Amino acid sequence: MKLEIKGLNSQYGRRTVLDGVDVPGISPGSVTALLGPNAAGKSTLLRSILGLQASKGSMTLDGADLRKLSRRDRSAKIGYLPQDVGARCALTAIEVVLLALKQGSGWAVDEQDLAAAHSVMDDLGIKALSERPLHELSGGQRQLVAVAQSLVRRPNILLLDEPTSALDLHHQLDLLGLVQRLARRDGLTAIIALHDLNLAARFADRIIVLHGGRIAADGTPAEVLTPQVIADVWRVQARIERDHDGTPMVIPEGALAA
Amino acid sequence: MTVGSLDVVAPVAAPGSTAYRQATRKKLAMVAGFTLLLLLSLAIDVASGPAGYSVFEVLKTLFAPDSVSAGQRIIIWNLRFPVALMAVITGMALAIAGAQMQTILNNPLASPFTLGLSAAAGFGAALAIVFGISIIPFAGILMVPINAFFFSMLTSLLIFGVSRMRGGGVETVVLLGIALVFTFNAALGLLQYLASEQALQEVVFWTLGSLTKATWDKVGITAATIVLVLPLFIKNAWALTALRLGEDRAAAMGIDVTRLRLMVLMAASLLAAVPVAFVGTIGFVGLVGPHVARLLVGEDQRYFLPLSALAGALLLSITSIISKSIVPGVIIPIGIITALVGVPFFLALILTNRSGNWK
Repeated sequence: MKLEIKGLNSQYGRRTVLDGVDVPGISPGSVTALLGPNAAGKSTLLRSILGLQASKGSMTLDGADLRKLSRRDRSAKIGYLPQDVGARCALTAIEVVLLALKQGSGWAVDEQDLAAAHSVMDDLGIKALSERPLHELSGGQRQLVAVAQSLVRRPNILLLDEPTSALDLHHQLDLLGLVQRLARRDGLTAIIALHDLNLAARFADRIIVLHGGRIAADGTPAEVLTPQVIADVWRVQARIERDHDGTPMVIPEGALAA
Repeated sequence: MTVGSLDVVAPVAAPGSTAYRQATRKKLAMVAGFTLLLLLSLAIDVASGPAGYSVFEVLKTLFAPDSVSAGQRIIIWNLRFPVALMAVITGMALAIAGAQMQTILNNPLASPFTLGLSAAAGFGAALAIVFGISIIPFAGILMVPINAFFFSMLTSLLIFGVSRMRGGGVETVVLLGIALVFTFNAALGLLQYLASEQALQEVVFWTLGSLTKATWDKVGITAATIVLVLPLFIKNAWALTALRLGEDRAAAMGIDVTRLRLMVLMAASLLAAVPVAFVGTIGFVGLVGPHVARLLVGEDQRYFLPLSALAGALLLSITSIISKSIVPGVIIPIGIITALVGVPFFLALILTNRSGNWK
């Protein structure tokens, strides 16, 4: 589904966090990376799309007003992984994944439910953890369980807020590779808030850079990741090299004075 | 997707589902086991007392009332059973209330007693007993429970408000609870000071927490309260479980978190208030019951809720037996015993709060 955002504003109390954000059509089957320094408004943008954060402005899904969707429909269409998935409780991994699937339905868990949950967990390589309680898992494993939970309902839009923050390099590549495959195969629209510019360059079709609640740059990795943008937004002096397939690689050389 | 098992049609078990089914069977077995233990404890509770009967005689009175003496029938049916059942029903109500308060406040130390709901309900009830002041005019026989509910609800709303504020962490809420306990106890003391001798006796008896004044009516009203709120918990079992993953993740699953919390808080307040209005302040059952359940079956509400109720009921039922056995011929107020056992448990929970199932 095609997501479009126009003139989005959002505030925490008196502080403006999003200041007229325009995101022209994010096309289905694409991976978009949301970059920006701390407090740029990345999480707020994702939370606004989901409806967790109050906002003003237009948000449409295939032309239809996103705000007019019921809570349940919106949550069925949009999968979301919040930044903080540290919750430790006495639930097993499979119980956590099933939760997203079973909301609003009866108590019985049938074979199809289990198959759907196991299939997603298998994709993420955490099927072996199914019956392990959350509090026994490592931070990275919990993050993958949370990703499985956000994917199990097969959403059209997937919003991931720093999904790789607790993952080792191998799992970072694994997870983003999987999201890319799901986008290509199922037409999933993925928007991922990231801090790692090179990870974004490798997996994203499009990069949107937020800075101070506004869009600072929007385009392909090669268009966006320039020394100028990185200096303006992150206050870092960086050199850009090209990989064999043309993917830009950011090599930071030092922090610039304020 | 390599092992994409979406195509596998039931009833062929998907690979991996066996482990889940096995775990489910274990949880069901736990619920069944606790039910049996509870029935056993109930029978022993009815049998024990000044005129001691065997469990067999209790069963005989129950299933073949004509084969026993009229005296035995009256003692067991009119005196022992209401008390023993009140222990069970009160334990259930308090443990369910505690379980849901722990869930919605994300606080392992939450329970009707520790958060001051019991004390507030006590104050409300005393207001009715001492002055006949009713929150709702002409409430008649229900004046005491209605007053109790009103004040416990007021308290839980206050706690709810504070828990939503910045810095309203686990400890803040518990400290507020302690402050509320002191406040309502002081207010209760004032009422006692002003009370007539007869009302005073009633209030004192009641602050100690005692089952001995239980009647079938009171058992019925308390049981009806549980039946009244249960559909809400059953309907929202998945949503309540999801709440344990944090507000954002629950909301992302399409749950109206604020509304759910408020409704469940009201239901839990009612569950906490009604038994307190009848049997007085019985502490810690609402705290311990859910923790026992969590340890045994985890926090999937489909098993967590029934087992919390059963564990609370079993705890209070066993306590009821103990209260009759310590000094022969004397029934020690049950609230005294639960407090003696509960306080060490409460301290242990505080000291181990950093690890395990809570952030």
